[in-house]
Amino acid sequence: MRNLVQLILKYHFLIIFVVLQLFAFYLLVSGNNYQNNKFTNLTGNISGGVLERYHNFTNYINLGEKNNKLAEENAFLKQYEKYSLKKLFSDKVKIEDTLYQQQYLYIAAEVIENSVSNKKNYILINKGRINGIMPEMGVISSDGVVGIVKSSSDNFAVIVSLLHIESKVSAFIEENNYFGSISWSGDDEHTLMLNDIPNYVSLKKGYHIKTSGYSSAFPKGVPIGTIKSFERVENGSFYKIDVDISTDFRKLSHVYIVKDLMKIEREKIIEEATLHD
Amino acid sequence: MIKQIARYIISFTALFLVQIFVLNQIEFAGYIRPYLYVLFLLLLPIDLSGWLALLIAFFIGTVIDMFTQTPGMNTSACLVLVFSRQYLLKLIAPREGYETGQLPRPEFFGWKWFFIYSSILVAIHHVWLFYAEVFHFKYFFSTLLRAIFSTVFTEVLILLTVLFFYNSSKSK
Repeated sequence: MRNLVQLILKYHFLIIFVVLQLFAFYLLVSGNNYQNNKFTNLTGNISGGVLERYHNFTNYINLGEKNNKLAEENAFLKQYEKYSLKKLFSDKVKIEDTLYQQQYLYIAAEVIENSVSNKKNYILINKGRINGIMPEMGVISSDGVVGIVKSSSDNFAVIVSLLHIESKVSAFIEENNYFGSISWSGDDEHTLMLNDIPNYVSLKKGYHIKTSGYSSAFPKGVPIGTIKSFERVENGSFYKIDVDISTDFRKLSHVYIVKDLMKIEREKIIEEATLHD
Repeated sequence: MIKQIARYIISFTALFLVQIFVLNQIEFAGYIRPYLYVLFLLLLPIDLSGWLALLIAFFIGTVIDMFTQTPGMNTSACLVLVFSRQYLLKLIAPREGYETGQLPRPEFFGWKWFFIYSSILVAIHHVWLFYAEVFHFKYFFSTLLRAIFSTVFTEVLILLTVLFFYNSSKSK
């Protein structure tokens, strides 16, 4: 027993190092876990508050440009307002439109911390669980896809940016309807990779890549980017395609979180259908 | 003693603010990420007990991680830095050993000693940090390149900071 105490005293430096290092690695590994990120839940409210204050301060610098962009978007949305539509029928006719049902709602949020230089980039926004933001929801900006919500605390949420080496988004080429998946190589903040497009398809530079709507994170048709270059891989059956990102992550300030109203229904039927396999 | 602790707290606050609100906000060519805050760990007193240095490293790494949404990453690298610092200090000790109250600064041991001391520890910290971030060896060379470039940049910042802020009174 005395020897043991002596041993611990002798190697206390090494022991403390190993214990603390193991704890750090536990945080590192569980923090990389998509689903439940206790660390951000715990600390998000503290650091989020400070970062938000800082963001509010620096926000003024780019205010002009941001206002223009929001105004443009408002103008675009105005065309769908009731007063922009011409009335074709007289007042007395009531039309119950059952052709369309609302599937997606959008929650506007502001970016308060963002990076593009890491291999795994995350974005912190100023809305959280209180505003209905849950993990796995899609995030878009007025330019296109931004990422997917990783975790949310009461007032803040962390988004896995498209610029994250493990992010994956289902996409299709608008001009010919072929489906593939989008990922990031980690090198260039302006370029994504489009995978799984078979090499017999004919492609052209500038073709539009949009979300496929296969997952409930994004509606179909949100822009991701345009084809920058493509080449056939030798001995492979797929193209190697570089995609120019439509979102400028360096200027990201206002984002919208996509809420799929039919998500539960969708998951339920998939579960039922695959239950007896 | 209390004065010295107060000085360390002020210097930590300053380095922390610069790290979070200046260095982390600027994107350097997409490839380079300086971590000036490690200077605080480099400048801890030489005769500080190892366990205390480890706890300080743990605390500082956690605080930085909180503000960069990278749980465990900086913490782990800081612990490795302090751990190797203990052995490096023995390795590069002057022939007559350290005197009490000496700080690992150029004003005590000269610029060449400080350059070797700081660049080795910064390199260890950065290599560990960048691999901990990616967490596998798939991007071995690009990660190494990022670590090396960032090390050079951090080292330059450290030398400048020490030259202007930590080199005042006792210079020989």
